[in-house]
Amino acid sequence: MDEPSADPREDRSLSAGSAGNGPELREARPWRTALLKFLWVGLISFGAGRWIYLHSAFVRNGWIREEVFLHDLAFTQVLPGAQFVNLIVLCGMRVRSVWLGVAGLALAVFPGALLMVLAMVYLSGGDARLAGAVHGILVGAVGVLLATFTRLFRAGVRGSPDVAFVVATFLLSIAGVPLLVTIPVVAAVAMRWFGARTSAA
Amino acid sequence: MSLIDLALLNVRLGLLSFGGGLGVLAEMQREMVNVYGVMEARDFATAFALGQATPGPGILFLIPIGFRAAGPLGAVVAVVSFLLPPLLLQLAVARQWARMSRNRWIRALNRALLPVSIGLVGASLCVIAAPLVGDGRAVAGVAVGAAAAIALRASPAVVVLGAGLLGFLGLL
Repeated sequence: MDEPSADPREDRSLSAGSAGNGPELREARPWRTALLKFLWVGLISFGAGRWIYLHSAFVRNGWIREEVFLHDLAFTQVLPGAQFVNLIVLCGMRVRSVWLGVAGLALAVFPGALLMVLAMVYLSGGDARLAGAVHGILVGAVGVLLATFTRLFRAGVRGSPDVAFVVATFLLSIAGVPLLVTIPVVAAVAMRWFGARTSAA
Repeated sequence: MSLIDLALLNVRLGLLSFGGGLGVLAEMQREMVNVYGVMEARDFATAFALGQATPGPGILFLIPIGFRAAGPLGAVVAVVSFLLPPLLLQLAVARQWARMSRNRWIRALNRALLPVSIGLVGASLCVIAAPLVGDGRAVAGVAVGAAAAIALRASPAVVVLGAGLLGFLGLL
C-alpha cells in the first residue's frame, strides 16, 4: 500500500468526498447503481469481515481505489462505532457524497432489519420447536463469538504485556466496572507501557 | 424504560464501542437485565444470536432489545442512538485522519486499544454464553460451532442457522 504524501493537504486522494479520481469520474458513477450495490451488500453480508462485501462492490470495479478503501478500513477500526456501518457511509462519501453514504446505509440495513422484525414476530408464537430453533441459534452464535475471540486473540496478542492488558480488561468488565472507567484506565496504562517500549527501542 | 434513558445508554455505549459493538455487550446486558430489568439474561443473549443470523450490520440485535425496552419506537431509538454519534465523529475526523494517523499519541492509542478490545470481547463472550452453562449438549454445540468457524472457515450464518436447524429438530 502506498504511503500518503508528507503534506496531507496535497494528498487529495484521501480527502473526504474523493476517491482519488477527478470530478468527471465521480459524476460518471450513477447514484442509482451505487444504491443498488449497497442494497445488495445488505442482503448478502453475514458474519465477521463484512467489509469484504463492500470491497467486492466498490473496489473490484474501480469505483474506489484499493489504498483509499484500506485507509478507511483502518480508520474505522481505531475510532468507536459499528465498523461496518461507518465503512458503508465512508464508501458512499468516496463514491459521491455523504448523502449517498447515508442513503446507502439505510438500504444496507433494510433487509436485515426486516428479517429481524419478521423473526421476532414468528418466534414469539410460543411453539416448542421454534423455541428449540431459537436455542440452537443461541448455541451457534456463542460458537461464532468464541471463534471471533480466538481469532482476535491469536492475531492481536503479541506478548505477555498484551495478555496482561487483555486479562485486566476482561476482569474489570466481568466485575461490573463501567466501561467509562475500564477503557480509559487500561488504555492509559497500556499507552504508557507501549509508548515507553517504543521510546526505549 | 423511558426513551430518553434508552437513548442516553446507547449513545454512551456507542461512543465506547472501540472495535465495534461486541465490546460493549457485557455492559449493555448488565444495564438491560440488572439495572433496568427490561429482559432476562437469556432473552438478551437470544437477541444477540438473532443479530448474528440476519444479514447486514450485526448491531441489528438492538432492534429486539429496543423493542422490549420501549416498543417499536424504542427499537428505532436504540439503533439510531447507538450508531449516530460515532458515525458523526468519524465523518468529522475523516478529513483530518491522514494527518492524525501519523501522530505518535494516536498510534500509541491505537496500539493500546487492541488488547483492551480483545478483553472486552472476552467479557462479552462470557456474558452471552452464561445462559448455556450447565447444558452439556449446548456446550458441545458451542465447541463444534467454534471449531467449524475456525478450522473449516465456515460462514457464521451457516454455523448459526445450522445450529438453529439442529435445535428445531430437538437435537440441541
